[in-house]
Amino acid sequence: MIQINRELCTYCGGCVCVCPTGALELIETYVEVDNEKCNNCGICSGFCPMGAIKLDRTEAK
Amino acid sequence: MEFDIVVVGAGPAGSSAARVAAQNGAKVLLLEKRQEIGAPKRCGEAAPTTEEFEKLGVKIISQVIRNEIRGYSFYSPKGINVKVVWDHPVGYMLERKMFDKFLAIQAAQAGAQIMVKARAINLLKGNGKIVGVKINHFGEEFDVDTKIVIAADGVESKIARWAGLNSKSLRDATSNVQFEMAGIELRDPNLIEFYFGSKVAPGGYAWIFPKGDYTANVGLGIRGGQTTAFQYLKKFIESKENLRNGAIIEVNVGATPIGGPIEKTVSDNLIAVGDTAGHINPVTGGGIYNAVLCGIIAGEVAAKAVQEGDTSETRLFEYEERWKKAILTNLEKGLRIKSVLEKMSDEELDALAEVLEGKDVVRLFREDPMTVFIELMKRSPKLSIKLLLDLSGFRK
Repeated sequence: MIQINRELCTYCGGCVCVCPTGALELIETYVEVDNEKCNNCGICSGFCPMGAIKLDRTEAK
Repeated sequence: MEFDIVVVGAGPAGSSAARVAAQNGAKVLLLEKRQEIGAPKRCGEAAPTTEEFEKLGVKIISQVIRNEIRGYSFYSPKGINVKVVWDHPVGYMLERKMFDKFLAIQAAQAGAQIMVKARAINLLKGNGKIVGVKINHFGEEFDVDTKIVIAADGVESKIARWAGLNSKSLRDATSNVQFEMAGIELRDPNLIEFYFGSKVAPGGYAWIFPKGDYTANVGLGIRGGQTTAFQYLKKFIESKENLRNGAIIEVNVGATPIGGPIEKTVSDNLIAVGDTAGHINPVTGGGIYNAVLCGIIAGEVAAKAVQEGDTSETRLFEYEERWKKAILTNLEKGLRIKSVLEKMSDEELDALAEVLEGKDVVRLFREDPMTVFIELMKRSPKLSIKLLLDLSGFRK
């Protein structure tokens, strides 16, 4: 599961752009995660220009 | 509600498409998910000259222009400066908040309906084909019927994905952060500055786009990694005496797809434009001009297709043919240069900078490009051969 720090997120949509499974959507001022589609690859977390996305592997399904 | 064309996203591509479609007689709805058109910007705000836009029939009003650009100033990893300067303006710095609104106003004047804080939440299909868009507008959900959807919803496009277009090339992106800064003194207020080096911005570069009045967009783009673009930018600014004490008046963040255009930009009842289509120069990250140009083509083709009653992929393919003719060579050239730059080490960038330092680069490349190569050959034969192979396209 990914955790988005909403205080740090600038809702730029970069994570949505690089997500290979289409699990993310930028609504307007927040990013919505579809945990059914997210495969915990961590690409968004490594990409986020602000470092606002953390990957929490312990909670992975 | 019923429209001929629904345009999703009111950036330069979407608003241009909406305007031209409306001017060509189509009933157009333009959607913007944000509450404000033009903000927050995800852009360095440099664009070609107003003359270039005039060739497209777009007359840029002075209120959207902040500064004149006369060239570029490059800094190699060890600080060697190479200037590329023209004796005439080669571009302008825009105020995107104003520019995007100006284009949307023109779309409205042409007869397009506009909704802000209106998000496309799904494509409606009938017999496997797109027949409409489900919209959430101020929290209220409703369906609109349409014959064509123009996807102008940017790098984070959902429409292109829902329509099944392969947007894989968009995932090859740089991670960018930019501060709009005030109260800073620049060496030359009409030159865009670029800083290269693995310590400054690994896999990318830092930039300073001068907006005039002691303000500038100071930012950088990197390939993602352990250290964030945000951290690199703070370090970059701290290292520059003229920036250190400046005030940050805006933070701009975003992804710039540099993988070139998406595989296919049309399907039945759908056209992709702007960033959604990957119409971004892979070296400069510039996409405003391409967005307006391709938006115009999309608007024209879509309106004609509606009139003819044929909105199939085959009919809309005219759009793809026309944008390719207009910008594909340029995008491909950008891809080649990008791959060359990406593979150059700090030492190689320094060697190239040493050859060009203090030269009239514009004249040199125009009149005698071979001397650059010969000089480089003397200094670094290995690099010369590498560049030659890469640029001629022998190596991918």
